[in-house]
Amino acid sequence: MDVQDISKMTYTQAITELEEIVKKMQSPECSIDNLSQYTARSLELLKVCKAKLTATDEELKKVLAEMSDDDNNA
Amino acid sequence: MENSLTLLEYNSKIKELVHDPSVQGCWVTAETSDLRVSRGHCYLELIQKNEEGATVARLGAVIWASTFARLNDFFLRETGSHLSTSMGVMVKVNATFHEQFGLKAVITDINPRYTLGDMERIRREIIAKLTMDGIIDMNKQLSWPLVPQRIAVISARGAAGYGDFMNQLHNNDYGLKFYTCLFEAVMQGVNTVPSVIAALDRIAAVLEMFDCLVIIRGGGATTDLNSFDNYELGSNIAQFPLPVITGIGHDRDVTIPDMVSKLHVKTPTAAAQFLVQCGIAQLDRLNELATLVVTSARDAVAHSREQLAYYGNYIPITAQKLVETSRLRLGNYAQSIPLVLKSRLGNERTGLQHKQQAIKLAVTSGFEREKMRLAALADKVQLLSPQNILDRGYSLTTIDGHVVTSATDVKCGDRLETMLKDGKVISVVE
Repeated sequence: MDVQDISKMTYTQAITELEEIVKKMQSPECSIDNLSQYTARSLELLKVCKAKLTATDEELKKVLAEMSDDDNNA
Repeated sequence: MENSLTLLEYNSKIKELVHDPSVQGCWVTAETSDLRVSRGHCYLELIQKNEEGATVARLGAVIWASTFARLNDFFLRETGSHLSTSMGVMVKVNATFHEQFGLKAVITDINPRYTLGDMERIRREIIAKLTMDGIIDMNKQLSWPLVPQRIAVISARGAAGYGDFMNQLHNNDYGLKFYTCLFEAVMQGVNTVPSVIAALDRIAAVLEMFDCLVIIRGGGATTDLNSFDNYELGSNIAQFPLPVITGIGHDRDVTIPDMVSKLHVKTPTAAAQFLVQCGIAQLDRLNELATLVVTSARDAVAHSREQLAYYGNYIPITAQKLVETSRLRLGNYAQSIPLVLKSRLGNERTGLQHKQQAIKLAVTSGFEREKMRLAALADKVQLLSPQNILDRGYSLTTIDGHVVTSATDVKCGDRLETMLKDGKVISVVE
């Protein structure tokens, strides 16, 4: 598996990899040897995806606030 | 010097003429231009353009404040739009002429149905042109990002609709984070089109910062929508490279931007709800994937355990079966060996018998052949025997036991012994 640095992944990249891993885990050919590796990676990806949806990216927020015409922009 | 009139006298005459009933209380169709409201009175120009767009007729007009308040409400109620510039109208006019201010048409009534029809015609023309240009569905063909979180907003700052949108979006119950950036624009009146297009251009310059664009009206439910029905604006939105959500029109009216955008919603709140819904769908997907990861891992472990248990049971049984099979096979061999031997011996015996027969035959025929050959030889010997030759009249002469075959072998005085068939004659050579 070509392991990409999770911190640099976009949400789309992360969820795409996550879905691929789940598919592999569901496959009857999934070896027990890969299982812990798959599980660990998918939990990491899940965490990153969820964070992208619910944790504030302060840097992005700041950049957009500066660009915005609205002084009260969130 | 000819008789002349003062200007006031001349204008007074015109005023008399203008009172003619044929130019009073007439329904006139025209286009509005340079409309402005001052101290409650509405001043405007009524114009007519030819097919090339050149103005071919013009008349200054006014709706006095007392009439305008009533007409404007009626017109707004019927068309959903304020009376404004560049609108096709059918108005009832009285021609008036003031000596000092000249000719003016005083509007006393308006037929909103005509304007509705005219607006619809303009819309249809815009739609036809956007379709012919092949751009009407361009924005619709863009795909949504999985989670549209970075949102460019075109609206009027401080407007109720914008506030509703921001509130709904940022205070969602799911903790979903959105990043909005307002690009302010005028959302009503004649400046709407250039103002919104300018905002679009500003966003296009920082396109990679955003996932989608939301265009929402600033004001309440009865804003002037007519100004949005514009080809340039429609064309810009249709070709915008980000998916666009519009919340401009309302239940009754769908504006050109609403028609060309990726998604048209009825209110700014609905635009925010859609975006939140996209986020919720992703949260649901993540939860589903989390469950799948856990169940898949659990299933895989359970499956491996089952497999182990199976092998645990299977191996002794298999071994036992293997021993059993081998024993059976041995038994079969033990039984089959004598049988095989017997049949093999039988075969050999038959073979030997055949060979014996063949030898016998060979020997017998050999004897016969030799017997016949001996008989032939005996015949030959018989034929060649000296006795047989003597019998046939030949004689044999010897001297001292040696056979005489030539006359030179004989000399005088030799004693010849001649053998004949039935005896011998002795003679002396002279």
